[in-house]
Amino acid sequence: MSAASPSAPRRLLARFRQDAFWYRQRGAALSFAILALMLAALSVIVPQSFYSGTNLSNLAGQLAPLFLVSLGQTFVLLGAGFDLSVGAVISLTSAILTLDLADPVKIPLAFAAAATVGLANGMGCVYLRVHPIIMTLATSSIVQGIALILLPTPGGVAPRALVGLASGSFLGLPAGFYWIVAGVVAAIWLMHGTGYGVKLYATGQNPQAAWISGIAAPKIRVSTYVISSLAAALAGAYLTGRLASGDPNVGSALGLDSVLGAALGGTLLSGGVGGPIGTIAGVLIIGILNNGLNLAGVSPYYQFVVKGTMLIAAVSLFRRREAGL
Amino acid sequence: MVAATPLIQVEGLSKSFGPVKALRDMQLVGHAGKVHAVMGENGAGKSTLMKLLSGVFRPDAGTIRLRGETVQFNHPSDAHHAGISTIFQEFSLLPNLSVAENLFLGRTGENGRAVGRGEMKARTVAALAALDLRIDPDRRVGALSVGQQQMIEIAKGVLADASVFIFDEPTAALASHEVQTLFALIRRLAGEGKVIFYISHRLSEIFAICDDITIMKDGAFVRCVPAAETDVDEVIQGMVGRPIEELFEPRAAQPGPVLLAAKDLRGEASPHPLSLEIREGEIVGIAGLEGQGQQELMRLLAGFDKADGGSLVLGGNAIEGHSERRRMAAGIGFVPESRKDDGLFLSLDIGANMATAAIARRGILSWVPGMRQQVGGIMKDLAVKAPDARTAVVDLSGGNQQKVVLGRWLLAGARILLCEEPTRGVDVGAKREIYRQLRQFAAGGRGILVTSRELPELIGLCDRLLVIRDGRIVAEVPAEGATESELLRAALPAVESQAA
Repeated sequence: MSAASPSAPRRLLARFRQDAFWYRQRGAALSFAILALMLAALSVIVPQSFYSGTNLSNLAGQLAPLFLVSLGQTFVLLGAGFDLSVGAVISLTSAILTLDLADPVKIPLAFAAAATVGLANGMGCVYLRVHPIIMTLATSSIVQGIALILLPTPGGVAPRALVGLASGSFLGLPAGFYWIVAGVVAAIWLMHGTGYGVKLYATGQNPQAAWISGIAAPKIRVSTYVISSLAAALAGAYLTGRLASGDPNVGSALGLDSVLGAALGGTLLSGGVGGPIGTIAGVLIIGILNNGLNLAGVSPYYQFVVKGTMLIAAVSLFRRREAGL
Repeated sequence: MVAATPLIQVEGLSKSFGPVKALRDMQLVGHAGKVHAVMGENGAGKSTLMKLLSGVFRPDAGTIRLRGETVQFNHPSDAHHAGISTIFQEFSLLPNLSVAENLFLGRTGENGRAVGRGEMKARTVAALAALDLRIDPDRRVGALSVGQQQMIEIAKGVLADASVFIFDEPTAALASHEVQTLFALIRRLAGEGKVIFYISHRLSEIFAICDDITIMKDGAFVRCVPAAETDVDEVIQGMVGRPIEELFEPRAAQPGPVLLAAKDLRGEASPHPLSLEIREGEIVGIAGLEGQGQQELMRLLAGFDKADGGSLVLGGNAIEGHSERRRMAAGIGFVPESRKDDGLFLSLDIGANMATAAIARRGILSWVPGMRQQVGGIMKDLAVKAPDARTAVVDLSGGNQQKVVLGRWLLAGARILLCEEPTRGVDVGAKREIYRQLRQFAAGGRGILVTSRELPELIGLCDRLLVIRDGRIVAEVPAEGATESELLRAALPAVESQAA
């Protein structure tokens, strides 16, 4: 527009700054840059052990549950919510899937239970106006309790179909890889391939303005919690199949890690900015960091310290630079 | 005369919020091709009326008829579908979405499915072109200027093929060339047979662009006249003309020496130099339309905004460089507009709420001797209706809460009180009590500066009135004998430019 035309890269940069899609994905761009740097560093520090087929295959298997819950959590965060109950839902799924029931009964039952938890979370946060952290912390306690009532100690038998789907490999790639791809494709399709995504971006940014624009903002917000719970149920199903038996505490570590994965991928906790594309990078950063530190022989306890530091770094790095309109 | 059925007709529309009747038996008629102004003082119910028409609120009673058929809006999207498009003062656009995404938000295609990305962009470009706008449909709305954002709001209505457009104070944030663009657009919409409701305070704009004027007051319809058959005086009279109840105390006989003097005081939020004086025993009022710099002035005097220049003298001592805490210690008390957010600790008792300012002046661990007796004495003086000082403030009525805030500054020994909207949210009886307390406070050799949205209140309560417009004090009149129309005339920017 200006008379003196600036250099091409500068114009491109200005174009990106004003483009709505890139505005919402700018955190993702940064996350992928950090990821690339980490991969480069690993190829110098521990090249043989990190880039070995066995290690990468293990990594895919380990990361699949975190991928699924982080993608679900991304939807909740985009709607300016927060879901701490996903860890407990994973555990509940594991408990239900190893009950002494027929497979065609308990598999739908596990997912129905998860959807119910999500619906309760969403209704509590949106209609009863309970703060999301309190609401999901409370349901988390209830759900974890139910999981322990159903399955007091690890054990039970996983549905055979799940064991087949979650272990072994197909066409030379580990099963976890396919779960990751399915989760990522579904999340990106929902967010960027349907009208739901735009409605969610609008609702997370300003529920009142979204409502005035004719969007059923409360329903959209409730739906994010259901999505998150169902994603957690999928993660629980994968873990149960992979272990071939149940564990009522299997999800406990994944609740906060799911927030970490989404936040590291550039999704703002204030809602409306970010998305599942960035979450891919966020989860890979966590997984590769843990894996790299393991390979380098660093104590796992240090990994907790590193993870916490990263969360602070991510949240301050992706902080909104401008407020509102 | 227009014989045809009006495009839109509102009858008997009422809406209450709790005990407050925001709109009573309102009527409004819009004919195709006409620009129709809706005028009234602050709080006359214009915004409520508009929000009922746009489906944001549901009416308690009354009907809205579109082309003769009664419609009912349960949700803003119902109003969209009926063809009513509202351009809110605070835009309902989403800054994180693109222009195209904003335009198609909450809309579906003819087949009921979401509109595809390509079609969305093409139709956005077409809709913008129809308004002579060239904006990239992928651009983020947050990166656009205020004027452009408003055009996007209008484009939303054009795209929806709306037949009724409602503009709420559309020129408040626009530069003058943008106002011209907007007016051209409004005329064009009217030329296409749309109804335009235009809500504004700016009289010159109203007379420049509107065909009819509906005047409302206190949430009710006053009259509707063609713009060509009326003038500024008549409109102002319609907006005002109410009997002032005898609620007020007699004024100060003779104010004492100057207590607080501000000279050419400037701050970041109030760049124009402001000068004023408050004398002992005097209540000075600040009148003006909403958002003309009243709040900034109060906060500058209280010390919440840092002064960039000028002087502020309290009882002979210069205090312009002092922090808000040191000013309070020197004797400036501040009663904020939102009592519940900024003024009171609702969960604490009366004694603790009154004591805060007195305690704040002392060291963290110091003891204030005789506090309980002092609080008790002030409660009695102010006639706070509560069993004792240990009653939680949350249980008090609005009027009694306001007394607790007043008592706080009495206890702290304030000599000047900066008081924002002293009677907001209190009933008539409590108003009278608050006026009496304020007068008593001033009578003890102290001074009060007060802002209020209600002109009759300012006229009745104060000794002297300052009119503020656009961050400048533009007029000073004795309250005795001042009239609302005189004050409105000074407060309205349009009247002056018309007279010139």
